[in-house]
Amino acid sequence: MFSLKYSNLQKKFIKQGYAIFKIDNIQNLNYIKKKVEQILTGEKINLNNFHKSKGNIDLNKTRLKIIQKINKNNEFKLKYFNIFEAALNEIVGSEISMQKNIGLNIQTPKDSNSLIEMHADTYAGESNFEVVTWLPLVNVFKTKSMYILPIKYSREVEKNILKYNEKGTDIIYNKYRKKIKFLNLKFGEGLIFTSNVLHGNKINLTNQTRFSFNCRFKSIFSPQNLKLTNKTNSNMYSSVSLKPASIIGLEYINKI
Amino acid sequence: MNKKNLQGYTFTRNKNGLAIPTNIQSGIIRNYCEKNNYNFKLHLDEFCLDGSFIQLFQILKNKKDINAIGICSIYFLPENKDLLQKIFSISKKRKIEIIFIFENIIFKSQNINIFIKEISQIKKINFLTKK
Repeated sequence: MFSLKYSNLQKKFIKQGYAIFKIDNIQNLNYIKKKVEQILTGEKINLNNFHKSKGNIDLNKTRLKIIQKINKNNEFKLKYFNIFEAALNEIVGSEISMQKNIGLNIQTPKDSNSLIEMHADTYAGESNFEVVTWLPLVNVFKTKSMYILPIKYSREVEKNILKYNEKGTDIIYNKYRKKIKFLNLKFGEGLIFTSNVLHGNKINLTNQTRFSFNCRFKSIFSPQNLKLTNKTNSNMYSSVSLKPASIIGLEYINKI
Repeated sequence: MNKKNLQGYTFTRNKNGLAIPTNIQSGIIRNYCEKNNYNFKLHLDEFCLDGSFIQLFQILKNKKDINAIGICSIYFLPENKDLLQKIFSISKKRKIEIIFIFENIIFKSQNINIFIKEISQIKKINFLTKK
């Protein structure tokens, strides 16, 4: 029997629990960025300096406004999917479910209102087979970016997670500080990480704003996280790439 | 006048049949903030591992610049009385109010034992008809 040879992207993902890749079709990314700029001001703006612009007092309202608009726009969603399609094909497979709503984070300098503390998506009941796609609209580095605790160390934490129950997650962050990676991505690069790795962000201590989208994907036929939740099926996904054999197969199953 | 900061705390486990998607919980907390003039800080999801309250302790022990924690229900607190004592003691010490939106009760600086009895009483009343 033959065995598959893994690509560099696949090898990186297996080793680290995440992989960064260069986006081939930059036009799709430019479309996404332009849409955000249009919703914000109606004209081209430097997103890095968004915090300096007027009218951004309620950041959460701005964030929700963008989320609502983009998620009503199927072309936007398709272009987002297309950006990740080839990489998802390598990492997840070709029959993919996509989270119904794409999420957005805006991280202005020194803002503590939008912090996402250390967590793994599986701890919120998501499937162990799920991946998170992350798309920054600006260059990200240091605390302007997000951090990940590579899979080896995330597994180590998980074994002892309840040991930290009455201490909070900061103690995990401090203990693994040297292993944690703040990811450097240039505009034009995308990130995919497994739902099993611990990740989060810290207060943005740079002088630039970060805009980044996130969306979850999983193989359509991979299991839900039955160990952790009572969920038998998640309603947060919609299937985007069912193959003909599966379409017919599902029709038969649904008849039973 | 500066608004007080309220940190949302959402619960991911099914508690006595009470299972509310976290985005809905977050919306409820955000709505509470708007009506009561609080500045909403993005909610933290509790881990769904049995017995985990790590994110609640993360807020109580490590989060700065917060005046209140918004939780949908008293049912999202631990049953264990020692753990409850610890939670309310830290909250009292750090002057962080805990607001339970469904039950419309707030823990501020009351006597902790009396407050624990009070929430336990509410739970008993709610389950009077339970077989």
